[in-house]
Amino acid sequence: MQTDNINFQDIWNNKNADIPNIQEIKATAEKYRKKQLSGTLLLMLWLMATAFGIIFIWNVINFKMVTTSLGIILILIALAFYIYLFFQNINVIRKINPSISNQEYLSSLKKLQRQRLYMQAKGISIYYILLSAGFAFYFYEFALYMSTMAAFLAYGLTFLWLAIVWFFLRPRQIRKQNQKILKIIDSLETIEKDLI
Amino acid sequence: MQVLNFEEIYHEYWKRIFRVCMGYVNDHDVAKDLCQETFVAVFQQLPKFRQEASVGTWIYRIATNICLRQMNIEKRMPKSELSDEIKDNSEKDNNLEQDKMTDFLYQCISELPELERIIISLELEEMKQAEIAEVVGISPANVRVKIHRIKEKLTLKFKNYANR
Repeated sequence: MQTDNINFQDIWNNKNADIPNIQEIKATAEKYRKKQLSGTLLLMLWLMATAFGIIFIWNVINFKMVTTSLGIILILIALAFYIYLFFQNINVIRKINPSISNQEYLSSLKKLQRQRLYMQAKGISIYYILLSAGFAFYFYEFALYMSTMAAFLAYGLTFLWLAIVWFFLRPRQIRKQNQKILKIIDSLETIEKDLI
Repeated sequence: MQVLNFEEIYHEYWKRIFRVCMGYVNDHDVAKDLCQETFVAVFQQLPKFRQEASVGTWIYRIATNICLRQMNIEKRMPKSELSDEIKDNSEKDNNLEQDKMTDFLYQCISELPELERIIISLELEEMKQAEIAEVVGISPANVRVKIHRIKEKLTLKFKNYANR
């Protein structure tokens, strides 16, 4: 093989492949559009269902105490919030306009990942606070009918469970999420080093 | 302002974009997928394209950014095996040597750091250095220096390959 003066251009241009049918592109674009639309619709439906649930519980069902309704409502809000977080996490990358320069794109990717890091950690905490408060209110009415000992046990166990979730499960969940995101940020930074 | 037709752009640029993606991943199927993603984005963004940059610069920006975001979807994947296709054309000996060199070039490029892959691929697509600078977001002088260094690296690899 001649190596004195290699013509990389010719070697490069020698790579060949058949151009696929253009319809495939249009079909895929349409598929993405529908997927995005159905995702948004699903989220809106869920949020509306939550809103109706809240109205229904507040106005139609008559619990003796307002705390019971409040408890269920807080639990519903917590679930809706969790679903919102979940939807926010899909397809985030596609939301960045890809027609900017590589350098700008890399820094937007990094910014987006940092935002995700913050949102996920804060989001998960808010979710558990809402859920715990919801349970605490919800059990109050039932606890009143129990003996002091039973009420003490019921609340004690519930809060023990919540404490385990808060101090063990929540940090683990956040750490797992963060590890994935930090790895991405890390490789983005490795790429960025070559810009200098 | 020039009227842009998606079909014309598609046929004019598909092979070029395919080669750039191929240089980035050195995997025929993945490169085809990246190419598809690129043209889906081009198709979606075309009505919004204001032609502040040339069509070429715009498309190459989309394609290279889509290559870069790859690792968000999968893990970073340097491919180092020669592709399988070459094994099938053993009857065409003349082409074989040429194809082998081509496969080796793509392999070498895909083993470079990400941005170097992009810079050399665009250079080999005969893009002006000022335009490469616009795509990547570094100065034209820096592009020139980098291209020089990458070509040196590649020449060295080719020499070692020939002397095996």
